[in-house]
Amino acid sequence: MTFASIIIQLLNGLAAASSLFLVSAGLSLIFGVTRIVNFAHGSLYMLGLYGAYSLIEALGRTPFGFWSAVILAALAVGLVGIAIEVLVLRRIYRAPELFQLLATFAVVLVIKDIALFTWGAEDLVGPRAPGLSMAVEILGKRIPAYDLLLIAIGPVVLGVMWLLLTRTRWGALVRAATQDREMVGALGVDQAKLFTSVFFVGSVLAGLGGALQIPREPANLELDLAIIADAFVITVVGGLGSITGAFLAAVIIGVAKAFCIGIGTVTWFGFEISFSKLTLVVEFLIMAVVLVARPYGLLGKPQAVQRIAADPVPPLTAPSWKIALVWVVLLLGVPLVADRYITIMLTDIVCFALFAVSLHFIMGPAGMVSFGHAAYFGLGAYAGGLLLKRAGLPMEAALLLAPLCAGAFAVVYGWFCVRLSGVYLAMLTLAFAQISWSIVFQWDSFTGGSNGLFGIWPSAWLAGKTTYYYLALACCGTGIALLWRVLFSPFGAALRAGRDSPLRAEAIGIDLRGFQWAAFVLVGALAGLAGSVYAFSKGSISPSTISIGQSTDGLIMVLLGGVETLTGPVVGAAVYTWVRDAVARHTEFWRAVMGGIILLIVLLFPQGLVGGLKALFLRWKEARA
Amino acid sequence: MLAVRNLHAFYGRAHILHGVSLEARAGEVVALLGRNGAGKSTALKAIMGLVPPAEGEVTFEGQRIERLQPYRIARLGLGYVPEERRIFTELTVMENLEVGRQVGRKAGRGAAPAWTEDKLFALFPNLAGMRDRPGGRMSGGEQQMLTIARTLMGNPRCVLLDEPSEGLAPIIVEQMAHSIRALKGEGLSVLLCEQNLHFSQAVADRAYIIEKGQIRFGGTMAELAADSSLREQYLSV
Repeated sequence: MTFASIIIQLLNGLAAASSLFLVSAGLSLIFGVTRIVNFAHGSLYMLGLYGAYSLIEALGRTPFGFWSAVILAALAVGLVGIAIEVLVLRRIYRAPELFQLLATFAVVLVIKDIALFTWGAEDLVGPRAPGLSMAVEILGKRIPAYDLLLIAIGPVVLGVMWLLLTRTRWGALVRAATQDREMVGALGVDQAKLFTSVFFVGSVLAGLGGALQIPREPANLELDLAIIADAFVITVVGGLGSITGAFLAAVIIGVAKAFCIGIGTVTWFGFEISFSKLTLVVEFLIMAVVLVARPYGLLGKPQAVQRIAADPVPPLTAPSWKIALVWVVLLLGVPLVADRYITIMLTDIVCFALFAVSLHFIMGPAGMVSFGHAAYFGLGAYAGGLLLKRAGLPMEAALLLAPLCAGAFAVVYGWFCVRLSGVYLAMLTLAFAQISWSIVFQWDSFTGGSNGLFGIWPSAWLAGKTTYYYLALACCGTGIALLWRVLFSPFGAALRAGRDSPLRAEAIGIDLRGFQWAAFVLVGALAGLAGSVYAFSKGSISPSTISIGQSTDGLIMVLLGGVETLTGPVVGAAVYTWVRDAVARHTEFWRAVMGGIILLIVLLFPQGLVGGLKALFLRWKEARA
Repeated sequence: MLAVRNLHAFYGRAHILHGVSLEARAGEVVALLGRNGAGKSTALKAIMGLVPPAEGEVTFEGQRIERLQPYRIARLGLGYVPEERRIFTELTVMENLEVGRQVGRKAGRGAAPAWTEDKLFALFPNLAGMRDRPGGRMSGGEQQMLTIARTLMGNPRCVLLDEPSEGLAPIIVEQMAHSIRALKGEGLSVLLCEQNLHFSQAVADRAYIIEKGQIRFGGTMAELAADSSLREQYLSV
């Protein structure tokens, strides 16, 4: 590379970093004060693009129209943020953190469908910035003038945020609440107002980040989850709650991506390395390295313990054999009376039930929340398909070897993950899932790329839908039973002890990290089994089995059912799969309906479905007594 | 000024307060004494709404407050100084005080002493020289003074003080006693909880003894000082 092209790539990277920084700064601010991981932050960014597009159309493609549109779009997104905070989150600040997460997933679904309804499914290409559509010549290369403006906007916003946070009363309150919000309340500050204002500012930043991207990137419906993954990575690399850290991380990652594109394909020692294909992975590699070296990010500090008098997690109760037996008999009997459609649906449910139970195992009793559990489900699915198609193994062998492959990945990923805890751990799991997704998505010759794999059918003797249902029930049922059994073994007890008090667990001689690693591998393998059974039931696999969407589906299932109960995830998987299918057959806007249902449940049953029903039952019993 | 009747409070399922009743009259310093785990801190937190009371009444200047959120209670003029100080370590001394200032508060009934930063620096001279120092880089005694000054910025008429002498060097304890008497001199009511009997005797007019979440004694400090069996039974370790 010449000096000129290095400078050009640097400028490209800095231009891309601006929007990333704006979104991440908002996310970081909101997390710092409210402790809510706002999955809907990417949706706010997406709304910023759509809003800017429509407003430019309305106000005209003039410099005045363009810049008014950008600012109005950002402010409008800020109002959406206020609505989310006031209508949803304010009601559940006392609910467990994971439930707040579930609520923000639901908001993602609702916003996606509102965007689909308002703007349609087609990509919308915005105009170039009027008055800035020319290019500036630097070192003999042409750089769009708009990019130079973007490069300037990042530091300007950083400066404004810094002034706001260090020179105003609002800033002092925000920083104080980030450390100890209960104390701020006891000093007479209305937390609700403070949270709303923080949500407004954070949302405006996301909206501004989106609106500024409209000349560079078409508005589309996939942006919400794509940008949230980027924003998570940047927030975590920079250090949660640190705006300067977010800026630093955005610059590092923006520049690294630009260089990967700029370098292109290079031949080193006879190996052809395609750096441009690395763009999807490079930020996650940076994150993995940073988190292992500095577990709280570049400029982050260990999280202050928020003082909330929460009830301790109740001990698990083992499911009774008699009830389990009844269910097994019922499930075995279904195909005798049900039609083909229900049998297929039940096969799906059985696979997702194992997926959800394995996720529950790791996030509930083992206390390690995973945002990227789809990695193991998807890798299991692909392993099954590839062993059949590429290695030519018989289907039965492929089906049973696939979990081992998923488990092998879990060995590697888990080694990194168990070094972290809390939100940082969750983000790292997300990173590994995205790395896996990127590789599968790009490796056309091996994995089929974006099309996926076809013709992955079970052997003839298993091909009947009813027969395959019994196979799925046997495989996944055994997996679920195994996981539940393990929870009540000394190993499971050690994991639960580690969740409740890591220090005390280690002080009585439990090698917590080792145990957590083993748990990671176990659930990875069993999620892989679920994926492999699922793949053979469909006959095809697409990269979406590893996507963030699949991971969030799993989280929704677990949280819907209730993370505190053993059977909750199974109920959650069944209800979610069934309702989603039922709704999707009636309306194009099934996401909004699902999101609405989830929000309703979150607001009515902050303990999850099974937990909520239990509480209702207890209240009924008390009322009778 | 502040009256508590039959207060019950829980931490999760643990029943901590079993019907606590006590009172602090205008301009009075009252000590709530008891051993570790007797329920002193929980009583203050329940009054402040930080641990929502399950049962009972809390009346502050004639108004029932047991169902209010902490920030509303604070804005009525009831200040709270937590144990362990809970200084905002990232914020400077001046910023800590700023967070304690209550902006746009409607004047309640009764006059409250109005505090400014300068008046607080006169009360706690140590703080005057470190206006721009982050709270995290102060000694325990300095932090204890800052946490009281921070609460006073809200111009309370009554202050709840959770173990103000805990973990402080003897000379700082002396200063603290002096400061609390100065607050009384300004007309503030103070309800403090303590394990340090000598400190309490130096500042308090009356005392209650709490054990296992119940009040066992209520009377003047002089009565408590005269009754060694009482001290033996409930306070000595």
